[in-house]
Amino acid sequence: MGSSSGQPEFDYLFKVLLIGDSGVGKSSLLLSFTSNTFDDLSPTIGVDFKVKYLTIGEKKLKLAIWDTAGQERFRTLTSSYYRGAQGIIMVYDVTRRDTFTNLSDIWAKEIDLYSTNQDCIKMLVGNKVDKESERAVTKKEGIDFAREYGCLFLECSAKTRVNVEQCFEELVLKILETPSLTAEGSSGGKKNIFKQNPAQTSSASSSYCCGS
Amino acid sequence: MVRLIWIPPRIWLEFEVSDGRGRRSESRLHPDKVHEVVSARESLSSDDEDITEDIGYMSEFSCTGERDARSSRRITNATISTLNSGSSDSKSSYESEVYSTPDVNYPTSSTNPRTEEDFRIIPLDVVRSNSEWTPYSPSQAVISKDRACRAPEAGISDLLSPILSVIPDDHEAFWCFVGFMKKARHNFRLDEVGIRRQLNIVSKIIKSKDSQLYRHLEKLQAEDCFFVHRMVVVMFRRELTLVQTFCLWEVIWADQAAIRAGMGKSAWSRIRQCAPPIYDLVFYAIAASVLQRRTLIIEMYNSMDKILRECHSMAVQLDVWKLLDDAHDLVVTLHTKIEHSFS
Repeated sequence: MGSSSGQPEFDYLFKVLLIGDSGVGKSSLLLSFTSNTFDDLSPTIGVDFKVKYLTIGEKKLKLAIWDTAGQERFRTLTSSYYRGAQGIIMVYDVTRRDTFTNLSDIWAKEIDLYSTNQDCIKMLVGNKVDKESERAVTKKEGIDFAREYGCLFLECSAKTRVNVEQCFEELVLKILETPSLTAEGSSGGKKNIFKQNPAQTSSASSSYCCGS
Repeated sequence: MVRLIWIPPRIWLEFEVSDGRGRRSESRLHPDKVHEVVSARESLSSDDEDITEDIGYMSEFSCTGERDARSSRRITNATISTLNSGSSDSKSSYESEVYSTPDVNYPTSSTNPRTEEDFRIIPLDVVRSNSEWTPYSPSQAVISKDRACRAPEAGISDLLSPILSVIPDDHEAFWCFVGFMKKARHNFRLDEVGIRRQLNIVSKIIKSKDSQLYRHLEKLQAEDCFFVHRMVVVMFRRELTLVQTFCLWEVIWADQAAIRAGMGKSAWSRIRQCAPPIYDLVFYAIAASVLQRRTLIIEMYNSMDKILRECHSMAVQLDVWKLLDDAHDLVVTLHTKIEHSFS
């Protein structure tokens, strides 16, 4: 599938969306994942976009990762980016409690409102675990939230790169387990508009992070 | 201690004078100037119609709740005390300062949760928004990058950073920024009416100039020109270097000043081939930057995300003078048509 010569080859193309409050580290997480670097970044305006190629098992994957601005004033425009996403990563800052409470107050509702894909895999990510002494949200709270909303869950640090790759890999593995999503993302097949399978996001996983 | 505070939606900018407990090194204004600024602020809250009109847009953003100057002062003081509680006393703390107690002080179940998040400390955000930022005074050097990463108001600080970097006095920078935001405020409306209208103008310019490119954009459902959203919001600030930004903005402002001075079309109509001053030159510049890449877009890009990526990677490739030349060419051929359709 998708193995024409000359072109970058991939078996699946998945669209992943990063959402969450302003300043929680969405862009840093993405930069950490795509370029293995960490830097002070300017706040995202509107939306940004990066591509990452991954090989999982024998499957070559192309991830198109959309990094949205966390600020309210850019939300209407960015809402169209939920369309067709196979994975959505909700990011909060473990040192800022409000970014966690806003997940249920704002971001989960945004997903319900804008996501067109019933089977879309959701993932909860608590960022900045390198600042353990400033932690304001416990890991258990994250796990409980993930269980309630049927998401995957990880804590990570874009700065130290702890769990950064795992965030995306776990999400992708889950997408690969969901037939309707793999059918959509397959480079060989047509886009599957109708989703036959019920969501497979009932159980929350809680991977470890080794907070420093 | 004096700080420039950003408090949307009710209150835009606030100079605050501390009770003296703040770090001396953060003081940026001479006490006399502080007094002037405070007086100016107080006169704003009076019924002085001229000044009130000048800052009339402030009230446009008030949606709910009445937060008067007094309560804003209270909030501001709280902010500053929060900042101080987490800051070290060392001047050399620019890189390493740990802002240790920021949000712990925030009530977790506040009845008005937005209050704490609403204020923004602009100089701090400016550091984060502007990679070329070099502090011009010791007072700016104490601003910690770590703090700068908190609660950013994306876009607005991009517009402020060039102003702060050329105007050393806070009070002058403040009023320049107020004047600037009178026009730029439309970019930050929550209902996004302003930004959509502006994207629509860019789209219209592209459609009028290059129907083939426009058809291609339509095919990709990108004719709304969302891919230039960032350029519109911060007027190329993210695509150009600081010096290039000064060039572009000054040309844009010179056009606007010429219009205000009455040097409108009548004077220019006699000079063929010369672009008349135009109020929205920035949209022509944005359209020009897209049109410069027309072949690439038509031949290589088959989805909106690729065009977006191209637009976001223009940073090192843009020649501001070529951009202005192309923009002026577009103005010469299209301005009557475009202005007419939006008047």
